[in-house]
Amino acid sequence: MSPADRRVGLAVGRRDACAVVLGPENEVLARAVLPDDANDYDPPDARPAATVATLLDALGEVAAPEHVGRVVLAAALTRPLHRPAECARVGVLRIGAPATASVPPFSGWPARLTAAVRGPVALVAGGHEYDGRVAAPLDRAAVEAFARACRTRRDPVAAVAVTAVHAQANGAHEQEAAVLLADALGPDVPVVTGGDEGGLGLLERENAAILDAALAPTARRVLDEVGAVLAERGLVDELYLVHGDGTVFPAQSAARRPLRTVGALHSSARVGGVHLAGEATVVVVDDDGRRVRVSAAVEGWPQESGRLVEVLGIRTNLREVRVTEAPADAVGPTTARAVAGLAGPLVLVRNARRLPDLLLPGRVLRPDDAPFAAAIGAAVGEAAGTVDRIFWIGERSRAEVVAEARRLAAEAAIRAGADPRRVRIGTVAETLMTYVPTSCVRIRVRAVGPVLTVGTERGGEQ
Amino acid sequence: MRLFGPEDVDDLALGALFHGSGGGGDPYLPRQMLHAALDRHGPVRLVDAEELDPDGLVLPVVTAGAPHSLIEKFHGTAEAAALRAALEAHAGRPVVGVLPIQLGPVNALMPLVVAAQLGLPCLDVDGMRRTFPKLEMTVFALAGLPISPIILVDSAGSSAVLTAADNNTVSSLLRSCLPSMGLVAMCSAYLLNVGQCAEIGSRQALTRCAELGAVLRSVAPGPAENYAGFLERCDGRIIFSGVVHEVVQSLDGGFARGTLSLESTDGTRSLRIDFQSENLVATEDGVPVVTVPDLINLVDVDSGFLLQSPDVVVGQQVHVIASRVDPHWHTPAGHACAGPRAFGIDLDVVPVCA
Repeated sequence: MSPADRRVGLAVGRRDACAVVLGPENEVLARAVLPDDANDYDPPDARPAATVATLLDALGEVAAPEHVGRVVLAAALTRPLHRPAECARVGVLRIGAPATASVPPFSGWPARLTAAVRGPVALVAGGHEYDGRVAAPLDRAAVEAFARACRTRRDPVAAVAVTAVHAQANGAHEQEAAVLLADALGPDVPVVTGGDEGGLGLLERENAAILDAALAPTARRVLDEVGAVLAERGLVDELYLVHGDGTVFPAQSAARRPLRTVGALHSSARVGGVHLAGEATVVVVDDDGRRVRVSAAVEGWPQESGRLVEVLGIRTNLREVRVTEAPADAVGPTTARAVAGLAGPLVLVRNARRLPDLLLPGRVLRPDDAPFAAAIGAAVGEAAGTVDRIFWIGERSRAEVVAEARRLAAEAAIRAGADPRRVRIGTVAETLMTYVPTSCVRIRVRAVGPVLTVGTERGGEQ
Repeated sequence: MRLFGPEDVDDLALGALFHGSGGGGDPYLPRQMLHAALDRHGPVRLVDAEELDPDGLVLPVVTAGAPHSLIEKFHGTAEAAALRAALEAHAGRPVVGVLPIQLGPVNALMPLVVAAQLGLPCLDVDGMRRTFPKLEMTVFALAGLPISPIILVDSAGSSAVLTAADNNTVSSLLRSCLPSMGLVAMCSAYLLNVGQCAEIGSRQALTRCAELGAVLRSVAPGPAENYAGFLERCDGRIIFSGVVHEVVQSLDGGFARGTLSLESTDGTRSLRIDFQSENLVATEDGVPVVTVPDLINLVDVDSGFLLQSPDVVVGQQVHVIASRVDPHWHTPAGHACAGPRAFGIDLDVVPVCA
């Protein structure tokens, strides 16, 4: 029996959609694009499951279930944010009173979205300090009262977001509250906790948790529909989604954290561009038919902007990839600026391969499969884990603390699906506490690795 | 007197970020805090010192602590009243207004938050004209006033009143209290009346800070030429444009120190920026070109945002803006108090040459 060593990559965008099947050596075995009239008048990403079905049928026998070990979908699950009526009503619990009362949840949110999303809000006692010790005992009675408010309203909540002060230094109260809420509200109400992953900053984590909770019921429905389309074709193995940073994560995680798919199309086009270029430092020029976006990978890692992703003016805890938008009449100068300081070639993907050489600085690559870059990027995407928190050094050495951070990042990558034997760890960014001399350090580190596919022999490379 | 309302927040925050000189914390949280306070309590009366009783006691306000801890465990709503009560008990008389001590992304906004919460006017005065890391680096200290008493309150209700015969001692007492308070406290220092603020403090501090912020906000992100009008306004110039090559941080005597290495786009020049909380020295090809107390800021070319030095990432393209600090600091006493040697760097002050 042949191993299931093929991967299907699907890219479902606003204006178009495409798919590829990659073989064991990442060779492209089949390609498909969505016919213009496939979805009647809807954009392809309005009905992702129908689009996926059409693409899979177009790929045909090459994507037969006995060959395929993994299906990876690049699609933004964030559409409802632009249609607030489609968002879930969310109960918001913050743990840390009396600290943090000066800025209530939903501060700085657009009024329309707040009106649609805001359910009961409570700030309860509990939370931890920067070094992980308990700041105050969790007020379980207040958590239970909040749960009742979420359940008994005439307009009950469809999801709950829970965020605790310093949950990354110690997640105990956040987890304890999540268990209480899950017991009280039942399995149909997703409970999203802020501290799962991602950066420092209570408001940023809380904002992301609320947005995820608001999107979760729709995301779960969409992914169930996609799952059903796969199952009908016998493709019962794992479904992955593309993260906004270009890595991939399991569909069951995406159903809880759909916000992480924001920007997934461009990011998988970048990953695909890097793969097609065959070099580790590359500038990718991506034209999706509406806008030209320029971004870069340096030594295989996406270049960051140093900022956090904002959605509708709401700051989240997701770190932003550096993407420069180029106006159609200034692609050259914008690209030149984006490339400054980088040695790699330009690779033109999706519609950008039509741009004339004249407009572009430096070495230019136009791969044959450039129109399929986003689908290829999904199929070759790796799984990642990130750690970004304060570490208390105490009696330990800096090196021991860094080793702990690296280990936690590697574990997070493995949870996201990375092959434990092939995890690589990126640069460790250490930021010390300014203004107060103290034995703490903020460490940010990422680990990535190829996805371990069920269906291939797990012990194969020993 | 003028009313400070929600429409004024962004200009002030941006101007204060510029006076942070690469430090002072990210303005996102204080902006949210000030908006929430103005929403709850209405606009704040921003007053010149002459408008209040010269013998009235003022409540100086700063948030003390580590910005990375503040963004996790920020203030509740009870600290302002506790701070006021502690100062009034210590001084034995009532407070008539709130005084900003530091123009920084957190601490230019926090006094307005407190003024809104307490229903007090906020003086349009400050004690630093920029961000410095120590409470003794103020024009009040230059005039010989002691920083004692320092009063700290935290969100859990803990408080401390610290006094000492000299500024160094009380300042180190402050730093030793902070770890027990979660690295964040609302804090008051100096025993000042309105008349002393009028005489010594920098006047129209918040108003001018917000005006500078408004000018900076009107600059379109991009090439150095776009900043011409702003540079004229802030008495500064762009000393370098290039790409961040390396970011290094280390602990030195308990304080976090860092170095940014930049390379010009054509690779022919290099600039090094040393920071300790704020940017201290810019050195081009081995020669110091500007030092504290003048301001050194990094602007992200893509977005036009001013950057906090500890958060800069490799690959970012930046302009480096050096600008002249308030003349109070360009005196022998000012240089001794806040020049490079005050930060353990054996260099004379190199002011920005316009």
